[in-house]
Amino acid sequence: MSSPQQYPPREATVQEALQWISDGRCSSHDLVSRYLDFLETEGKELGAVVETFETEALAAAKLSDKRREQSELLGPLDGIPFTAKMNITTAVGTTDASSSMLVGFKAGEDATVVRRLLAGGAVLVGKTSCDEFAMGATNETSCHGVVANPWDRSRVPGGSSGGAAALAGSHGWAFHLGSDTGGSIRLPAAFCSATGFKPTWGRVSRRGLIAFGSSLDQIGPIARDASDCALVLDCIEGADPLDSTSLHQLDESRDPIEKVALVSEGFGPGIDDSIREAVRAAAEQMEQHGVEITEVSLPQLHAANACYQVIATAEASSNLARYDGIHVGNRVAADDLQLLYEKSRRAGFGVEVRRRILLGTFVLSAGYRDAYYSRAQAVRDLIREGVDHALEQVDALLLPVSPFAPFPIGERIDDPIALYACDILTVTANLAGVPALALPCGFDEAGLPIGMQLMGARGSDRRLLQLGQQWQQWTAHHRDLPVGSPS
Amino acid sequence: MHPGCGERGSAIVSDDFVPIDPGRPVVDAELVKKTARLARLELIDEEVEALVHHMERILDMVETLRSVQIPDGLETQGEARTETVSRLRNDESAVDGQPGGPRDAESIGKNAPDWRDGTFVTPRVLG
Amino acid sequence: MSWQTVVGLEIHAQMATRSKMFCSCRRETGVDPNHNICPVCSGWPGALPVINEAAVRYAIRAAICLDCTIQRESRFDRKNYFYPDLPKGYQISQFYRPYALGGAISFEREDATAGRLPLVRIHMEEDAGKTIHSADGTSRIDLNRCSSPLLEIVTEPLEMSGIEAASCVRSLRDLLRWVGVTDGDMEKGNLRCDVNVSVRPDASAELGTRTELKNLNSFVSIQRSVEVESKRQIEVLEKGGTIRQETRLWDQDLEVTEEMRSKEDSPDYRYFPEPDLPVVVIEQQDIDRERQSLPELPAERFRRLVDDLGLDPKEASPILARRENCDFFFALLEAGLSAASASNWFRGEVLRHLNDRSERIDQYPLAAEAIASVVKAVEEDRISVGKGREILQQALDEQRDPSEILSESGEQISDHSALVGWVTSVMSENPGAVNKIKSGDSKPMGFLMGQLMKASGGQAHPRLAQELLQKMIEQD
Repeated sequence: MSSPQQYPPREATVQEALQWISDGRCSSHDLVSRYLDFLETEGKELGAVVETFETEALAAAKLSDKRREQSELLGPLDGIPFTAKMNITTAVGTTDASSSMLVGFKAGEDATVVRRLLAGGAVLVGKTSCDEFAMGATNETSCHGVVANPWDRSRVPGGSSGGAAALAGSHGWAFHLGSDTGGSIRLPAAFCSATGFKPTWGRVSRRGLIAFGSSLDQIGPIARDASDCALVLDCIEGADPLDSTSLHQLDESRDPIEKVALVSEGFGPGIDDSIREAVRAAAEQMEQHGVEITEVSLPQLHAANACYQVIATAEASSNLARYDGIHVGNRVAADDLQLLYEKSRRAGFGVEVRRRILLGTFVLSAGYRDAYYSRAQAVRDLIREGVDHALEQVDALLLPVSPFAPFPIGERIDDPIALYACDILTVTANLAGVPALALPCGFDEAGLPIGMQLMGARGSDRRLLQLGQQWQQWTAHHRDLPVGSPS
Repeated sequence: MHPGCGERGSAIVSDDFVPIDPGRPVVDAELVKKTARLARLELIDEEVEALVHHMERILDMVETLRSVQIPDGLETQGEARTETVSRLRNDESAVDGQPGGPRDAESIGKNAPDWRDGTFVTPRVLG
Repeated sequence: MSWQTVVGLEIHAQMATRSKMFCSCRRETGVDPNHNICPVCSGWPGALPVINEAAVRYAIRAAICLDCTIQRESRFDRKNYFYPDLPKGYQISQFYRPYALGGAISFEREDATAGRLPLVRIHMEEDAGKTIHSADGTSRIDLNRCSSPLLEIVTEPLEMSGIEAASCVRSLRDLLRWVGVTDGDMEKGNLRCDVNVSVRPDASAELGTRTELKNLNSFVSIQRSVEVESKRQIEVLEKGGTIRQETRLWDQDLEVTEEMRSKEDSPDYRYFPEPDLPVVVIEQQDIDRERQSLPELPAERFRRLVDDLGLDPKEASPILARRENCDFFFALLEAGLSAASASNWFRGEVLRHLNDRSERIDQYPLAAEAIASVVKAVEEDRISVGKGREILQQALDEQRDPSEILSESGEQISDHSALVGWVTSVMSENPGAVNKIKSGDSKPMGFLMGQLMKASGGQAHPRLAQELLQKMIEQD
């Protein structure tokens, strides 16, 4: 009698799942099939998954198993399932940025990062929900419905990559592609107790990413741990002739991080006590393991959110002008061209997106541009310099990801200012173009996840991930699963 | 510690960046409607007031920008600083099927809301 | 009261690259609508622009020829507006930091003196698609042209007439075409021109308010629209009115400028630097390399034709209309013709033929050397001018090498005894005509010459034969 099929434990990382497969304890097809079950049940209950690709994924997994038999693996991720955020184009399925404007849009071609992963044998299993056009911090603006936090389904998972993080936070074996413009990888990772990485701007190709704030956007992995994120980065990073802003020379330095500074502004009175404590405790643990901990003040951070709001919305107002009801996307028919534009855009965009387009249009408009957009760019330069300067004295900066714990669904969505407050600690990394790694570092009294972030100098992606990997050898926060998760 | 802004003696002088401080602009229905027209967003009357209110609060939040001391002569490049210089593309049409290559009209057209006779269809364009 | 017309030009020249400005779609006309489109030029989500290196090279060439100062670093910016043939909702252009500043267009004034129209700047940008009005009341968008590479050349305002304005655009077009930057065909739309017109009482007065004229798609319309608009403005001002700064459309048929119906008088383009494209760097070596690869420029060739070879400037100009024309002309010289002959025959035969059929020199089937051999035969008096022309025409009609035809047809006969033979026989066969001529009536001379040419099978040297006939009649 054959023994029942064994699977890696639910919280197993990609690396651990790969070990299972290479040990022959289960096949990629078994793994992917089981994972698809999870997506179709819990994934959909959470609202995290919009589309799954069962036929294509199982076929791909079979091919992977064949390659493994013949020792002809395409890469280290061969056979591993992954999802892509709804704002990343894929040849299969649709890419709608969770917006009514683009529902049904078939890109017909993979984004560069997806193409590279598929060429490495990874198996695309589904597309995840996100805030509409990646504009949000709670994944409450998706046209596919609200996404729930697996740790407490009455609470938000964070956004805009809420679907990806919710999946990563509740189940291992896979990795998820998200995008980060002002914290959209790191915030949901922190809220869902997953690990999320935003690379140096330009390190990963943006081709195939539906643009929000072009000078701020980056695609990055959300997974169970930093090792998984590093594996994904290996595959997706590097120059892309189809993205003029992708870096041609990557810094691969892996010099260990020896000196980390806590950013004082991340521990001020506006931050929840439990969060401050958890991150300080994390710093102490690092110190016990030989990392020198200091503190630094970055006063420019007070203007960071304002700066981000102006620049991100300005770029977004332009990036979203192409959705005009004429050559792509959906429309509301009208006999007059201007009415066609206005009605199509009103119907296609949710209220938060429309607010941001309005603000972005305003800050670029005649008479206001100098006072807002130009000034924000000057402030951005100062912020960048301040961060660069601080990172000359230390190897990395440490601060919380969010000022507060995951809050109830519906609590902040009608109060945009309260919503934008979620971003205050994350936008700096995007403004300065520096890499940032979000790591689970504990839970508050209510059992809700707390995340911390490490920021490094531009190009220090490998060094950050390395420290993250070490940290996750000294601790086990990242191994937890929500209470009541089936095994 | 960031030393503050006094040490930027080497900043390039720019003709076109002159920090203007017109005072916080007055946000009213007129401004919101004008901006919405510019952005081709239809507004219904009921939402104008809420938008005025929202814009005011955002501009309040964004006031912190004005409190930042911009050193004299700081030229803002106005673009994301990047270590890259534009890489140019060879003047060739891409091979069919190559990523980033041309597509046949139908594959582009089928994602358009109104595509007939191989063209995108709109109401009559004036002017 | 005498008024001065002041004109400024904004010219868009489509660069003659193989692919588009920011994507690898082919740049071509005469194909089905939307034949050459892709996610980038169609403005699809997730698509990003990548600069065409040939466009930058051609831009450098244009700036070198026009004596501009090329900026080492320049940037692209987004010009945001909504229009159906602009799928991204913005045009990628260069607003804040164009790649070239200054420079000038050399042109000929009406009084044949040299004119110089200073330039403000040149920048690179992408073209929009085409909007076609359909019979069913809709408009149809064709994105074939969308994102083709353009150069926008902006001039300073300068006092000039309508004729001179057209001359400026023609000079610019000829120069850019000469160096291969553009096909420059206004009718095909790859050269477009907007004109700013103002008037002022005299050169010392401030510049008047200008109007912008659009929809000029020929040199004639440039000339006429300037003339008509400056006249209109003068009339308004003389009546005590003021000129409104506006855009007006030129109506070719009615020869009037009209207010545009559009409500947006000064659109807000909300320019900001294009975040998807880092700076464009043009190094000195890039400029040097382009400079070295340039052919000899029209100004230098003009000098050669007029100063060195002694051609009249009016003759030089059709030769210089295109570089290929000039190359053909120099090939004629190289085949041994004098400048004067080459010029006469080139304009009289080659260009005439091409103009009649609206063709270009690259469609001309006869080789320069072959034409030269025929011309030499004429100049050496071996055949008559008329015969020479005939041979060339026959060569074109029968698609044969003219030197072949030349060797087949006999050369004209100047042999004195042969001529005497024919003159004698013609005189003896036509005594009546001879008598008439002797009595002072020269009319029959033509008839006799005709008979003589018939008798000689067309080969008698006409001039010599006529002289001999005259002499022998006198001596008769």
